[in-house]
Amino acid sequence: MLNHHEFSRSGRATGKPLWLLLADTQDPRCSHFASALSNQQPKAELRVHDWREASLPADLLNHPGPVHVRVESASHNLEAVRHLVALGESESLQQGFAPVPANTLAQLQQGAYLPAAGFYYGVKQRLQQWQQQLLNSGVEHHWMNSPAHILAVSDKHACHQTLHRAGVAVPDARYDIHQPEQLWSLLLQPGWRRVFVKPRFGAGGSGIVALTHHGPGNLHALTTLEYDNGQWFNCIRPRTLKGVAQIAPLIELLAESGLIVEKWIPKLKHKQRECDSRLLVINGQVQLGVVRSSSGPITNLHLLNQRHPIEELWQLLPESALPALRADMATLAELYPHSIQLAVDVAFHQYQRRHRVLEINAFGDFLQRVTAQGYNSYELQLRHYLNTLAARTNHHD
Amino acid sequence: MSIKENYSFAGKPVITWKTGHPLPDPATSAIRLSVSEYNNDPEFAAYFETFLQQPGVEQIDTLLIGNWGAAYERGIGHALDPFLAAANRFPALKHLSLADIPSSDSEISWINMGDISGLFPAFQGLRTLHVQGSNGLVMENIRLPHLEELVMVSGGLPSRITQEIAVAELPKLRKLELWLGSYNYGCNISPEHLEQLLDALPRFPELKYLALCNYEQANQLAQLLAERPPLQAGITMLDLSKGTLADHGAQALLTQADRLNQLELLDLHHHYLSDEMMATLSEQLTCRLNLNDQEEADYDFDEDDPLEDDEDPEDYTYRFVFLSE
Repeated sequence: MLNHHEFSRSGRATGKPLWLLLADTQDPRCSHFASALSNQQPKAELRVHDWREASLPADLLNHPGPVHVRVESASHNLEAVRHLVALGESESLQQGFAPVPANTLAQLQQGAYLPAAGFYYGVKQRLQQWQQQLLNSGVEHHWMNSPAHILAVSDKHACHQTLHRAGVAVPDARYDIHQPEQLWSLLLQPGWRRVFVKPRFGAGGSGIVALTHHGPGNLHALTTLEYDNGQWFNCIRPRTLKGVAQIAPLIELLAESGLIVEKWIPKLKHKQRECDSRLLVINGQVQLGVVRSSSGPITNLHLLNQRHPIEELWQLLPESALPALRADMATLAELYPHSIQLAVDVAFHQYQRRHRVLEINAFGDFLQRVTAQGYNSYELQLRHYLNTLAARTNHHD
Repeated sequence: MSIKENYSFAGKPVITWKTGHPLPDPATSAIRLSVSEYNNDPEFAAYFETFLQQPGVEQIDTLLIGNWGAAYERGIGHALDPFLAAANRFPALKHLSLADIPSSDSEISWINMGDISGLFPAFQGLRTLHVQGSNGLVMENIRLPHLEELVMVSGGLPSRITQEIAVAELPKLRKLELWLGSYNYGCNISPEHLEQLLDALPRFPELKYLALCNYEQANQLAQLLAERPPLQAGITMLDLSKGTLADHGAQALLTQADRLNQLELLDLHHHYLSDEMMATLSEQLTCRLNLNDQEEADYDFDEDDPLEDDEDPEDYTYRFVFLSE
C-alpha cells in the first residue's frame, strides 16, 4: 500500500526507501533510530549526514526520491557545537547577542556553560542550507521533524508566545528582562516573588535559575551553573547563590544571550518530591512519558533526579485535570503540524492540580526504557509517520 | 455549612465561617476566615464584606485569617487591607492568627506574606499573635502593650524579623516562639543577629517560654547559648526542638547544666543525638526533658569515598529541620 503511493505520486520506481538522518554519527540516538527503522521499515536505507557538512551528497540530491529526512541534535559532538557557534555568530551578533568567548568554547569539554544564541543561529543556518539544497534539487522529500518546527520551539520567547496566544496553559512569562535591575523590580511585582530564569535558546537544564525573593535584601537562587576561576560551568547538583552580589553576575551572563523569566509554578509532589513530566506527543496525543522528581524544583533527569512511570502521575491528579491536558496537547499538534512528535515538558500545579506546559524540546523525544504497546519512542513516531505518509504533500513546510 | 476544624486556637475550637451561614458563637469559637479558589468561593474582599454584616462580629475576641485565595502567589494584603480598614469593628479582638493555611492550600514556604506592620497600631489589645510563613514578611515598630504570646512559624525566618523583635515593645510577653528554619527558605540569621536577639530578652521581663526551634544551625545556637551568660531566671521552658541538634551541640548545652536544671522543661525533640548522648543528658539534667523523635543524619562520605585528613566530617553531614519543604 505504501509503495503503491510512492509509485503513484512520484511516478518513478523508488527502490529502497531512503532515509537521511541529519545528526552526529556518534550520537547513540542514531543507532537507536536505525534499529527502530529496521523494525518498522526493514527495507529502508539510512544515511547519516554530519552537522558540520554544509553540502548534502550529490547522489542523494539526485536520488529518484522520496527521501525521508529526520534531524537529530547536534549537541552530542562538541566539534559540531563549535562549528555551529562559528557559523551562527554573525547573525547572533546582528541580533544583539554577545559573542561566545574563545575561552568558553575551549572549555566545553570541561562543562563550560555555552551561551546558546550563536549555536541557535548556526543550527538555523545549517538547516536552511540543507533545506534549500533539497528544494533546489527537486527531489521529493519529507521532513519527519521540520526545520521550521525545530527553530520555533528552540527559541523560548517564540515558543512561549505561540502557546500563550493559542490559549495553551503556560506559566506567565516576561521576555523583556535584559538586566539584573529589571529582574529585581519584577520580583517586587505581585505574583512574581518566585521565578525561573532560563536562557532563551538553552536546552538540557543548562543555565536555569530558580530565584526566590524572600523579602527585602534576601534573594536566593538555585542554579545549574557554578562559577570557577572566571568561567561558569554546568554542574550536576544545583548550587545555591545568595544575595544580589552573587546572583547579578549570573543574570548578566544569561542576559547576554537572551533569557526568559517565568513565574515559578509550585510543582506537584510525588512522594514528597517535586515532580514534572516529559511527554511524547504524537498526533496530538500523549503516547509516552516519564515522571521526573527531585528534592528541588529543577527536575532534569541528567541532574541526578529520579524517573518514575508516567502512570504514577495520572494517579496524583483529579479526573478533571486530564481532559484539559489532552485538549492542550491536541492544540500543540495543530500549532506544529509539520512535526511527527513533540517532546513536551508539563508540570502540574501543586495546589491547583492543573497543568502548565513548561517547554517543548526540539530533540527531547529520545526517551529511553519506556514503551507503549511494546514500541519505543522512535518506533511509535515511525509507525505514525509511515501510516500517514500517503497524506503528506511534497516537502511540506 | 461553616466548618469545624480539628484544632484549637487560644483555647477555643476553630470554626471556619462560610458565606451564607450565621456567625459561630464568638464566646465559644475561634472564628477562621478563609476562601479557596476552587469551591466557587467569592474573593476574600467580598467574603469579608459579608462577614462584617453578621450580627455579633463586635464580640469576636479570637480570629484566624486563613487563605485569602491563591496565597502561594498573592500577598496577605488581599486579606489584611480590608481587615485593617475595618479594625474598629473588632474592639474585643485579643487573639489573632495570620495565614492559618493548610499545606494542601499552600505549604508554608510558599505562603506569600507582606507587610503586616499595620496590625500593631490597629489592634493594641492583642494578647496572642501567631504568624505563619515568612516570604516577603515585614513587621516594623512592634508595640503591643498587652501581647503575651508571639509565635512565628516559617521554613526560614529572616534577620529583619529577629532584628525587629529585638527592639519590640512587648512588656507583657510570656511566650516567644520563633521557628528559625533554613537558609533555603529565607533564614539569613547570622550569629550576630542571634546575639542581638538574646541580648534583647531582658526587654521581656515576663518571658517564661522561649522557643528558638526548627533551626538549621541548632548546634551553633547551642554553642552560643553555652558561651553567653545564663538565660534570665524567669525563663522556665526552653524549646530548642525540631532542629538539627547533634552531640556536639548537646555537649555545649551541658556546660550550662546548672541553669538548664532550673527549667521546668527543656524540649529537644526532633534531634540528631546519639543514644549515648541521650543517656548522658538524661543523667545530668534533672529538668523535664523531651528527647522524642531521634533522627538520623545523611552522610556524604563512606568507606569507598573517605574524607581527606584536613576535611571536617561536619561539612559532609546533612541534618534536616522538622519543617523544610
